[in-house]
Amino acid sequence: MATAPTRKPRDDEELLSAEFMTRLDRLELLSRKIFVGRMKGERRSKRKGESVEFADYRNYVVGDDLRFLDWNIYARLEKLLLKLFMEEEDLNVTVLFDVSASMDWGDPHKGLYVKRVAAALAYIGLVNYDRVSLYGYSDTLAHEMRGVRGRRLVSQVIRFLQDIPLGGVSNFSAVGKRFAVHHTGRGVVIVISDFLDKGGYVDGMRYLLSRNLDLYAIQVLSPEEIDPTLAGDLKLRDVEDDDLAEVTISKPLLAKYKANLTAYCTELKNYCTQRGITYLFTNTRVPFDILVMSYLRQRGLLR
Amino acid sequence: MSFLAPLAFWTAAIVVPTLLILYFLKLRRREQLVPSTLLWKRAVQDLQVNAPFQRLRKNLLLLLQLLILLAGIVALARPIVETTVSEEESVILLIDRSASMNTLEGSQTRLELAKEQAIRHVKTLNLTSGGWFSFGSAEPRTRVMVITFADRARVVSPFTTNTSELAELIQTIEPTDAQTNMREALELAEAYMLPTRGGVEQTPVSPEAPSKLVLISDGGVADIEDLVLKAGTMELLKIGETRDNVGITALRTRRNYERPEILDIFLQVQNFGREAVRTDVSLYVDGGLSAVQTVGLAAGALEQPDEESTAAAVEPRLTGNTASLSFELTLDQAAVVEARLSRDDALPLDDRAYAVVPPPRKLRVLLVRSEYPFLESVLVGLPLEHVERMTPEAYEAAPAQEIEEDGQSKYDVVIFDGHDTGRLPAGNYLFIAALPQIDEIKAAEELGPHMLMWWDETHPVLRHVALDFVHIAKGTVLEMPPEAETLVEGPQGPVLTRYAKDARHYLILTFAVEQSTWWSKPSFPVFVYNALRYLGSGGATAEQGPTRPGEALRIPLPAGTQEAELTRPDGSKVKLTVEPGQQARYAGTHRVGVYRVEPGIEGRDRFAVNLEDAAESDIAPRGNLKIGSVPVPQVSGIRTATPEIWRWFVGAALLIVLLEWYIYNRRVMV
Repeated sequence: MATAPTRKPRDDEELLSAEFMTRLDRLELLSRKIFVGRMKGERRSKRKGESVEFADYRNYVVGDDLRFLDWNIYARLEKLLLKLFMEEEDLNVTVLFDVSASMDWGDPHKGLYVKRVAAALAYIGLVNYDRVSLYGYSDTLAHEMRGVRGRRLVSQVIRFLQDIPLGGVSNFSAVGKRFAVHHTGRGVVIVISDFLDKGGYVDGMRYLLSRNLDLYAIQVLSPEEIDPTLAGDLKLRDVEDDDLAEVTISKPLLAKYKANLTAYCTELKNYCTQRGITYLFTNTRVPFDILVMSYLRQRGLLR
Repeated sequence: MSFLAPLAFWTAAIVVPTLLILYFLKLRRREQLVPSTLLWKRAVQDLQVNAPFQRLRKNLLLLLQLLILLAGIVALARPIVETTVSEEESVILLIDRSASMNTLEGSQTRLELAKEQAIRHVKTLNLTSGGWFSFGSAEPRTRVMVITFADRARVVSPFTTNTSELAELIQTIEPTDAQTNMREALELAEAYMLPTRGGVEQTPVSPEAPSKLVLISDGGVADIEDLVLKAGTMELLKIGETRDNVGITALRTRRNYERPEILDIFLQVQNFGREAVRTDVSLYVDGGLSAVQTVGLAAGALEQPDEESTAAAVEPRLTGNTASLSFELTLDQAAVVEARLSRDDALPLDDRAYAVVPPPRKLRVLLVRSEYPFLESVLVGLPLEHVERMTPEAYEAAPAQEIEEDGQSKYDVVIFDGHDTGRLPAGNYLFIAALPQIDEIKAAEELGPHMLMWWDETHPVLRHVALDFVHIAKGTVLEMPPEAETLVEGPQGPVLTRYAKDARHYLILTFAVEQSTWWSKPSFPVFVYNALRYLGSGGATAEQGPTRPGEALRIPLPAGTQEAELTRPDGSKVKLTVEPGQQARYAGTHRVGVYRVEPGIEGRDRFAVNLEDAAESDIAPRGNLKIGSVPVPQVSGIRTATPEIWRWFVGAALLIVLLEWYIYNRRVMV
């Protein structure tokens, strides 16, 4: 059996360098939608609350906190009006990343790449006091770290990411369904995967869309997948499900493969665009810091 | 088409299944891990949809590969076309190597073509039965024997199945200029074909072992009609197409009897071609040109006789396809006369003829007799240098130096009239009513009055001699050895015989002239004249013309010769064995030309060997031969040589390889 064109990442290879983290400090996650948070945070919430920023008035009803009555209005108009302030709450940032066997591939390594992107996004979220949830999935949500907040948890998050083994069959439909059921919070959901799922991505996406989330899809492919370097008469074995495909590599076949790949990606992109999902395609050869610092900012996920 | 090495097809039994196995092995692909087969499957499906003849194409490749293999195997099997594969168990090739087989057909002589055909024929045999790769039970069945013949037959190879050895042996056959005589070849073949069976009378070859005789010849086999094929069948493989030839069919020289320095030369030139020709006939004496005549010849007899008139109109001098020429030269020494035709034709060897002319001389005759009535009167009238007379007693008593010189008689001819003697030095003798006292010849009994029954009018001794009405009162019945030549026959055996032995040449007449009426006839002096000339010119050599190729030369040598060497026309030298009687024999006269012996007797040291055979000069190939009035079927020659065909198959295999490569590369295989 031929060895896979894979450069196995070293275990101690750090997901985020200190230097890169300082660059990420300046960034924050954006959401195109304003969600109701759970805890006090640094984001405007739909909820009126206790910040210093005035928002509105409303009539007093029995039981309201007398501290928020606007006594100046009562003095002038003898009406009990309650001052409402803008509430700043936290943002739910969820990174849903593929850790199936197919991610254990490529040079540069897809799995490492995905973890780095997830780590970077988590770092940005933590720094900005967002609620960060990380889910590594294959056929189910196998690894999760929910509701992490605060900068001090960065090292914990990174260790969590590092310790996730790559393996299993990806089943995005099941994962999407489960995520939709279990994940109650709203917010930004970033799906990082190769989306090469035999079961298709449509069902999973539909579950996610049903929750009215701000969805991002980042498709990560390795150079070997984009431009295969295979030759000869081969029996291709799928690393995930041991599915076999017998091929004789020839120029037309490669051309057909590339055409199909392009078509597949375009189809995914169109699907996402039509449903308000921000789609981003990346090759692992693109340095992930450029992806984070440049592409994600262009797409409006980061600021 | 057939194959020289059909066993190569056995390799197909190995190679084709191997290919099929390889073809299945090809499907066992190298395994390769990929992140996802999703896109690959789609790509493959798409291509399959786009290529509806996918299965067929897979088969096409297999088919092409099988074709390549097949072509390769066929090439290995050494295919040949137009060959007839023999089923006979024994084949005898009779290869003609007579003079006419020297005819040039393009750049090759007929004999070379015949050898080529014979080799091809040999190679095509034994094919069905294993050929060159015989193993196990597939023993080669066809045994081949090769006999080559001209005037003599020679077994080139006895029955064998070794094809390559046969081919080599056939290559060694050398041409001769001799006549065609198939009888001996046929007898040889029959001797090999009919095996003797332990003293029981021979039975013809049993039907399960038919022998096939393949005669490879131009068909110029004159004696074939007289022969009978006792066993087997015969086929003719005709060689040659050319028929254009003009040849000298006779060259005779004769010294004028009265004036020996004058040499008469008679020449016969014959045209065997289809067109009328003109040619110069040049006469060379010892290499120097001395006379030229131009002769016009009509087309050969085959196209005659209807066109005779038109041919004559075009060429007034044409006198038919044969022309006789005569020259008269003054030549007072021994010489070699050579006649040449200036025209180039297919058979060069009959364009030249040679004659060895002895030096001019008059005869010295010794007459041994008590009285000299009739003979004396005849001898006086003859132009002789000297006639010595002796009584029988004086002859027997004479000292040796008076009669002989170095064992040779001092006289050209010695005549014994009524005297038997045993004193016979090497020389020429005419015995009249007398006998040489040698073992082979005996007088049986007296014979009363009789007539002469038969005489050989063509013999030089009896030329212009009419023996009708010659009555003989008393004669002798002779017992002669079988090799003696009977010239005149009486009621009880020979009356006049010629016998030669040990350099002695005898003419023996059994009756005394005075005991017959012959003396009164004009034919008697003519006979004496003829006999003296015949004996005096050294017997047959001068009168009978030159030796034919293949005939033995009888070479007189000077007395005391221990070693003699013969120079052949091509310059090669042969040592001669000196036989008793100071002479040697040489039978290797296969080529035309002048043979010269060293040391030799002045005037008799050169010998001309000429073709002079109209049958051989007529080179027109004949296909409709009959052997014992049974037609000989003709078979066609094997034209195609082996290598030319296998090259085509190898070329085809290469082309298919290219095609297969193209198909494999241009289209996708699953």
